[in-house]
Amino acid sequence: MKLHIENLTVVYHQNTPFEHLALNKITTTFEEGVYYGIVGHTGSGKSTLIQTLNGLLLPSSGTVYAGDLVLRKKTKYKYVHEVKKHVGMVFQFPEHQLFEETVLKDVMFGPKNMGLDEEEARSKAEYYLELMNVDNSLFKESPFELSGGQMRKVAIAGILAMEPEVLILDEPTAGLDPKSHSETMRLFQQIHKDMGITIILVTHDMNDVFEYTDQVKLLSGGNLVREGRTEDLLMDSGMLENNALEPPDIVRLMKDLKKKGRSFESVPRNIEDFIALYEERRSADAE
Amino acid sequence: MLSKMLLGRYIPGSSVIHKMDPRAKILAVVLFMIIVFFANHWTGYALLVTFVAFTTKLAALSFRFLFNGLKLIFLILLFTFSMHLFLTKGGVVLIDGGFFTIESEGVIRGVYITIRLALLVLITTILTLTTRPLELTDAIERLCKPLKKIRVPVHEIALMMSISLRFIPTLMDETEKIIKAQSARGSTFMTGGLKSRLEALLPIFIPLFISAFKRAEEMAIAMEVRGYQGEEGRTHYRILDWQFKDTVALICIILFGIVLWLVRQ
Repeated sequence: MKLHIENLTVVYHQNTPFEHLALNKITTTFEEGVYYGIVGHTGSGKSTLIQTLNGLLLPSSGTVYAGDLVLRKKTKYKYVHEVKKHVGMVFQFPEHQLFEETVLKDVMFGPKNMGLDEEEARSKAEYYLELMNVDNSLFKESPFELSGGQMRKVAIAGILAMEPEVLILDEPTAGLDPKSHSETMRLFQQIHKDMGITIILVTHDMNDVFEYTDQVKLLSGGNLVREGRTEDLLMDSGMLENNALEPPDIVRLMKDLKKKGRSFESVPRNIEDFIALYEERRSADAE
Repeated sequence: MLSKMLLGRYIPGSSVIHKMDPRAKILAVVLFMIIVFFANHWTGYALLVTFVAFTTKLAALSFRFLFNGLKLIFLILLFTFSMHLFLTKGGVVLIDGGFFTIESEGVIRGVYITIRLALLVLITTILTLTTRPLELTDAIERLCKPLKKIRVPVHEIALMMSISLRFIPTLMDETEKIIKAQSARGSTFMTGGLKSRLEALLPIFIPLFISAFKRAEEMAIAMEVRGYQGEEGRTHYRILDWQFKDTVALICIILFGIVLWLVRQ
């Protein structure tokens, strides 16, 4: 499903002393099946933007087109509900939204709200729990007894089980240990590739953005500053620093190597590729 | 929706009212609450309304903003008004609807009592809007100090108050976040019948309670780690400073009370 927003403006606490312009006339498009990254400094409007994409927030002015659905300022609540079937959202610390008695029931909550019956919801829940590597001995456990990493996986399975066409991830790995971090990111990558769903990743981790996303949108102070291919944007370290963002580790390393007179045809996107390239060069040098 | 709540909110400012000693402000509000009951005639009420309007102007708050906050208790006001409208008898019968009558005394009393309630709410709202919650609890602690003589744990109560006040916005944010997260999962607590709406509250309250308990525990640990052990040996970071203008303000209120007593009929 294609998402398109036009002249989107969001103002918080309109007409009070706390009035605050969060997004300023943003126009952009999220194409189907692309992995997007949204980056920007704290308070740049990232969270606000993604919340308007699935109708959690309605625009103060402007329009959001989600497939055939149109969201405007006065759109009715019932209609907004439709959008949530298509656009799934994993919030920061999603484990905070667990509430059911058992893991399985919690994952079934979403699909059941989407109108599936008990049986269908159960099979969806089981499928996505397994996909998230949650052991089926845990299905009947209380979600509150699990470890932090497992709770996170259960919560994510709860969103995936709704089978959204667009998946929005808000800092999905914040507070996870490094192993769970890469595991979770790989799983999203796999879901993106296998099922062709659009992913919109919001994060401060530029390494993740560099490794996984195809396209990047950069926000600053409620404005869309730049958008384009990930490698184009993230290699531009001057521009990143202007927006108080740190370039990815690999970009910084490559820059250093270039200064030392090394040239590269292509830039590796993850640490493994970088190490492989590095070792290849070293053994070539040794000969 | 929640962000519109004015209760317990503080709006930074530098007006005379903002700068008053919080103790003076609390005393003034308490005095005002007594004075409100002096009025028993329209001149008295007119004076009271003028007084509140004047205070609002002094505090540099906008009336519209204040009335938005009043909307919250609109139902209570409406209820009080209609109770008096239908139940207070006396005077001329205005409407005779068979099983009920509306009499002139009822209308008059209804209007008076509603004004009285609204004024009480407004003046306390002005107090909380212009005073930092922490200042407020500090002031209450100071004012209640004599109660320590009869073994009332004043410091602990004040601490409990400041902690709860401190966490109101945090819990509000948390609630809003959880509501969003659950509605992203298709929870529909804004539509459907009463039963399904109540059921839909469960996915919001359970996570909220869990996080509130976690927070409380973390908070207790954090306080202990920093060596908190009750009131003993504690000094205050903010020193309350009673100035001449605070005395003047209180005298003004008392004079105002005397005037109101004089216009009583």
